[in-house]
Amino acid sequence: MAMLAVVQSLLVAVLSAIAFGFMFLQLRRLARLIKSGTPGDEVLTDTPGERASKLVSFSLGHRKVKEDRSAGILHAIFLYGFFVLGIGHLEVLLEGMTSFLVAFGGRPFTYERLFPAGLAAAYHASQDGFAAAVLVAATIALGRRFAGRPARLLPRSADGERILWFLLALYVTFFLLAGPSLLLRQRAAGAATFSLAQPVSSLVAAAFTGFASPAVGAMRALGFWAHALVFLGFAAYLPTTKHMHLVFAWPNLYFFRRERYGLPPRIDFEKTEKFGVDRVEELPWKSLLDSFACTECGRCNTVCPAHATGKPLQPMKVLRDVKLNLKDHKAPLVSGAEIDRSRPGMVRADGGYARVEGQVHLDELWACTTCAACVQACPVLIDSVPGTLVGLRQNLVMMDGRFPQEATNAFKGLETKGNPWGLGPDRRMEWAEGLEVPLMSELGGREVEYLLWVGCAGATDPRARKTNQALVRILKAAGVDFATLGSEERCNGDPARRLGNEYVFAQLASENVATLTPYRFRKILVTCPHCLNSLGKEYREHGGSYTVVHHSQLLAELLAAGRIPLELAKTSDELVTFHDPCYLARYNDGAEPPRDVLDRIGVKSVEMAQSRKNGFCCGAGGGRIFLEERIGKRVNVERTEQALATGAKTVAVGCPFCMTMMTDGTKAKGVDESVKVKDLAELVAERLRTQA
Amino acid sequence: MALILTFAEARDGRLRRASLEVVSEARRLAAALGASVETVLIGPGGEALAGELIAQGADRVRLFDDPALAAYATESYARALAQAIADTKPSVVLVPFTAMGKDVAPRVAARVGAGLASDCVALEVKDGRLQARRPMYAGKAYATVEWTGEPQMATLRPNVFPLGARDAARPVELVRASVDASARARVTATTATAQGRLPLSEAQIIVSGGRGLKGPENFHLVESLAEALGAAVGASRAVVDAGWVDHQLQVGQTGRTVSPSLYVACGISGAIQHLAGMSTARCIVAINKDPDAPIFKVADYGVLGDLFEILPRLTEAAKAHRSARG
Repeated sequence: MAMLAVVQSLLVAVLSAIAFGFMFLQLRRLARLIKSGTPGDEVLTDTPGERASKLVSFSLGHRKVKEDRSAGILHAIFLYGFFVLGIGHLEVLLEGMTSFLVAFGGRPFTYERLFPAGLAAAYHASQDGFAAAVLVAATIALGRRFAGRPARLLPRSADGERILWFLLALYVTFFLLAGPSLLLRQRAAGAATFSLAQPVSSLVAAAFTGFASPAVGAMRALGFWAHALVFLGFAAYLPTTKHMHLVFAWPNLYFFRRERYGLPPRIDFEKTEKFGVDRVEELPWKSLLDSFACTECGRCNTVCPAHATGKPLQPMKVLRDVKLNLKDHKAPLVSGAEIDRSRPGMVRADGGYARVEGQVHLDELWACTTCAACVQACPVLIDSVPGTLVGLRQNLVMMDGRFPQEATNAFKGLETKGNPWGLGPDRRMEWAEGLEVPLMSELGGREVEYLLWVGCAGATDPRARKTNQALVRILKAAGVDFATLGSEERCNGDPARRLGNEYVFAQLASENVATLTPYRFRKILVTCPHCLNSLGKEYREHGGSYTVVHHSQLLAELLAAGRIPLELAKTSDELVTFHDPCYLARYNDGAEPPRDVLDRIGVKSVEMAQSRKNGFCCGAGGGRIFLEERIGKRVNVERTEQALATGAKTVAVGCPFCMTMMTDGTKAKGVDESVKVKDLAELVAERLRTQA
Repeated sequence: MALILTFAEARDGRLRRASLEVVSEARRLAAALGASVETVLIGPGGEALAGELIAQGADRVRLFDDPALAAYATESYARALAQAIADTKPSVVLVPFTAMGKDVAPRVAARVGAGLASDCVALEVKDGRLQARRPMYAGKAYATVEWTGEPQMATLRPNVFPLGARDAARPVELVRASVDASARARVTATTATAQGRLPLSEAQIIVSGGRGLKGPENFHLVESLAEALGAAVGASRAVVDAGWVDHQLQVGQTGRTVSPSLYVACGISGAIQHLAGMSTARCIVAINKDPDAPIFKVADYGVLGDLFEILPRLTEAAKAHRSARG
């Protein structure tokens, strides 16, 4: 008997060493893989307080996970169960390793001997309760996967199911250990079998009451071994799976990106000869860390407009591709394999491509609108997917000249005319004919409050011109001091940058910064969220630091201050729904001013199911407005249907690209006669008091 | 005697019209320069085409008719033209500004050390030397360029230089030449995408249809007018997206960029995406019932009205005009 105890100790010690040693080696390998990435170009260690509080609120606080309520509850049980039950697992291992003390007349380690009676009872109660809760949660989670599987859990993941089976085994064996333990303890104390602190263990114990204590002891020993082996197996299995989420989610939350999410690292064209990302290790380490923090919950897939409309892109798969590619390091990260979508078996049920694993396919990376819905949806702040895809585009565009053929026109126009439609600078003031819009170059050095950045669409797209014309009428009515650059303005470069043509972006950015430098203005006013984002956030790296205001914000301020003379009689009963531009609501936190504007001009508005930061892209972002959409349903049609579902007769927009896409959407649905798409500025201008 | 060497492009056993235009222009210049005209023709079966080049003004055709040169390859074709230049020492080399010419000419110019004026729209002889006019800034300005050395090499924009009178009685003189036909890159297959229609990018006249046609069943109205005018058919993105016609016909930012002499836009409102592809057309005619349609802003002639009424009448008128002309 004593001999057996010594052998048991040795066995537990050796198996623990093997399991945890394996875990350690795996973790070290993964950490090295993550560190093999490039340094990146952003500070991810500033404001430790903010980072720590984000870490706590997103992890322990479940800030994002709980948005899906039932899944959130399950996750909370697993996470807190992991902590609480971890204490018990430690006890089991320590007990196993110290069982040799029996040979010397001692007793193996248990917390009971350390804790006062009350604490011991609380400890037992916590283990009993959490183990039962995890069992129930794992059963529900498995059940969900077999019956009525949510779409976001497709395709079936062996990893995802196996771990749930593991959890079931772990806590079934836990009770096979806890039941006999309790029975023996109660017998020794001369108490009743049922313990209020351990109701579930008591039920198991009740099954063994017919046996004599030595038999119960043997069953306990069996339970112990089963539990210990499952646990050690679990520890060894975990690091090879997506469940390293458990480890890497924490640093990932802490090192969240504040500034440059959705962007690949900067390129120094003077020093580098290779542009963009081709091999996985050319991604920044944070993007690699992202791939290990992902536990494949699929929330990003659910909100991805490309995925929702039948394109093969799935943000979650991109992360998995990065991870698989990093682990096996054989192929470039991009696959240009010919995919015949009409051949059976090539396109899986979830829309992905059957034979592309560990690589991102061209169809996937060109489908991204960089709308950042996936970033917004991620419970562990994974923010690298759009940036990774743009990095891949950079390599294809700048190194290989491989891009959708129709992008040529946009690139050429941007490069030669500073306008994606190829219209020359001489045409940039046509929109303002008869409006007497002052030019910066004619102010003689006077400081102006707002430099009105017209934008390429605003200057040359006949439809978007109307938005700027409306805005100018409002600015004049409100007595706002403004002037524009006229023919000196060039595209801000966003379409080039998002399409991977960083060189053209850099060219345009430097040119615009040089144009702006001699002028004196307080703020830049834009009607295009892409201009807003570039000028406000992305020009800093090219030496331009500006306060940029989207017109919705200025309109809201002017209305609040009563500076816009409105004629309320003009207020109609038309029902309006506002479609959030991604680069306004998500990228620049600008969801509220547009709604404020609508409220203040007295229109009745209604929200679409996906709105504000959770808005659904119009399909134009990421330079996609300049590309054809060949696969699946058109994103703008999908979004238009969502808008029409509200019953609104006017779709309000705050972006010239959204304007194009939503207008095309109403045409495609054949409702362009009855449903109008209007910019916020037009809705305000319609209600301007006519001058006497 | 001075020599003008021209490059003729033949595809599928047919001479491109641009090749004949170049020969005609060479003939005209030859008179002023007191030069003779020789044309380089590459590919087997060129003998059958030489007569046409001679009739159009060439004095001699230099044939590279090695079967290995059947398919176009930048490397071997450039080698052939460079060799012809080295052998004949011309003072002027003219190449059509077609896809093939754009590909070959710069390479050859570099190889023989010639100055190259590309995309020329007019050539003049002044004091025994050539002067070329070429558009800059997308046609907003013209530059007149001269060469400092020889040969004076130029690519000529298609559809600009007129064809001179044919003279089928001119004697055919052939020179056979051969060259190393190997190429590190070769064409293994070509896939045709045309659907038996006039290709958009080469058409002088284009008739395009948009959503104003209301349905695919009405697209024939556009096709009939195009046929009557000898025009190519185009379409707006909305119509292509709706699946009425193939993407091949799409004119605009993400489709074809065209600049025909005449563009007739039928029921096309003129969204920026469409304007970006056709606003450089020489003459734009817009037919639309919406007076506020932006297409009228770029149109030279606007017809405000119902295209279901206008198109058939226009088609009839075009047919009548055609038959009247014989």
